[in-house]
Amino acid sequence: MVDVTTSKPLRVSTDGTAGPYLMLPLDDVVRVKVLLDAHGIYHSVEEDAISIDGSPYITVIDFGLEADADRIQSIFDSAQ
Amino acid sequence: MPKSDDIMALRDRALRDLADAHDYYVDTRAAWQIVRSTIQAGRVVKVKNAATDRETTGINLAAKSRGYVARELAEATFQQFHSIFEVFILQFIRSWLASNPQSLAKKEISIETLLELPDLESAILHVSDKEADRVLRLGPADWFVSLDKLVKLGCPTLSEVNQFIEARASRDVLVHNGGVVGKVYTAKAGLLARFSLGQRIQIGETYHRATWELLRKVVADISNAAATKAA
Repeated sequence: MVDVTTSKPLRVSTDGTAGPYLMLPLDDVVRVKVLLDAHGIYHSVEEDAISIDGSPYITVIDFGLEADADRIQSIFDSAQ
Repeated sequence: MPKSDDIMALRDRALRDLADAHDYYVDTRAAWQIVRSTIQAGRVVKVKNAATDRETTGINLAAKSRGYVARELAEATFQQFHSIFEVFILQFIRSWLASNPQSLAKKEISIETLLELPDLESAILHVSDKEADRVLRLGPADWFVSLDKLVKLGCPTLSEVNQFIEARASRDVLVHNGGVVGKVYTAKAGLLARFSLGQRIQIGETYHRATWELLRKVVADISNAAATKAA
């Protein structure tokens, strides 16, 4: 699955201590949520979305401390 | 008597939690400063809040952030310092009582509860928990009186106790009275009251730091004195 604004693949990040997360354009949230729900992946969309210099609003989906980042990434990689 | 190592573990945990809370305060201030610098440098920032459906533009965000840091962040971390200290006191009293069951000799436990517990040790722990909870509900002035009765540590000093009572009263105003000073605050804080009736409590930078230092010192002094007794 790709980011609609950059056409680059969505990448799950694992830096920090709050568990895996995904930064994505606000416009992609619904599409990604449907995919995550279909695979039963726990997730929480942050309430804020930020736009810098007129770029698309970017938000974050958190997967929780126990999330399996590799599994989530593989779901994105195999989705169209 | 609890083992010296157990007391030091309680101390280290409380001091680490206080350090983490202060790091959060400073790091968050720094993050907001970076945001303000970014906006001042001409970057166009917009934030959308999905919950309120409001949009904040860069200039407004920079302006709002000063209030967030000076008020919300300072007040939230100030309250967090108190929570950490409260947990330390509760655990310290509980641990001391459980290790000195003779101090619980006159406490009562129902036969019903006793029958539910597997052994004497569990019964002692049960009564210790109950007594520590009771002491905590008494209020901060009595925490130290109870501590002194329980363990003659010789600390904190009267001046530190009074400073703590004022700080705790400030915390209570924030939590229970929307930050506006009432008679309860002025009565509790006494001569150390920083604000008068109807004023809004402020947690300035210097006061925020002084309270953090005070709590650290009291945690360290109580633990070190108790560990020396326990050794």
